[in-house]
Amino acid sequence: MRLAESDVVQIVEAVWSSTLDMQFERTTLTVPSAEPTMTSIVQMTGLWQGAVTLRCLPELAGRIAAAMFGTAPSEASPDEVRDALGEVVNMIAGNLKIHLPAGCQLSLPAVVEGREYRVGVPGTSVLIQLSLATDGHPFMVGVLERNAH
Amino acid sequence: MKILIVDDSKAMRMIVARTLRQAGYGDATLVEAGNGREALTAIETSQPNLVLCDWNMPEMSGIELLRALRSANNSIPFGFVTSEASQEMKDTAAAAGAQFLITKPFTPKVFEETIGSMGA
Repeated sequence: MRLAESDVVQIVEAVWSSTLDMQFERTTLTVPSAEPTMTSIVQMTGLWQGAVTLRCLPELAGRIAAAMFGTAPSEASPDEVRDALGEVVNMIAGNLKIHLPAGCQLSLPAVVEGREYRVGVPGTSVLIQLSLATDGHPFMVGVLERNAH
Repeated sequence: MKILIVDDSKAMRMIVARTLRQAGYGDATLVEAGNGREALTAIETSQPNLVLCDWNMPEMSGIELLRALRSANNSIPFGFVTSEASQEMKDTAAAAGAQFLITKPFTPKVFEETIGSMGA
């Protein structure tokens, strides 16, 4: 089964508009790896195996948390920012299941923070990588797929 | 009316609470739990009229909570609010005794229609 980019964009649009009350656009901007970044990830197991990732700079992560908690970005604690980022990628992954074979299970989300790191799931490769931006703040949504043996 | 919100994400518990207010349930008393095990305790102590529950949680998942309730002959109205959007999950939820499944992301209108249809 092949996921299409348009499937992922549609799901991100729903999450951004309904949950965050934000818009986004396609961009050529990338999330610079030399700066501190945050990546949330949910893995999927079952008849389709892979992972969904969301990567952004802390500033956008703070805005996402603020939108979810109904506070100012500066008021969101680091735990709240991680919680919010994890929940956003969880929603994206959960909705992707509509396009996948039955029997796929989601992991709980995890969040990685730092500079110059790579998030990898052994045995997978990048199926879809979207470069998007909200009010000029870039973020990247990735879908990793386990390679066929 | 007392509603128990069960979700391991504090952010999502806040969004569910906010959406309930927007859907016309501003007068409801809201109780929160961070997983199924905490929810079992909260149901016993708070006696809510409705449980809104996430699916994937540490300690005890939402479906494990629902099965534990129904096997104890507890028929409290129970709905999932989850990112699990597949038909398979909806069927599993219904078979276990859930009244409804709301998929994240959601709108106040969905809450109003779904919870309202239960006569709540």
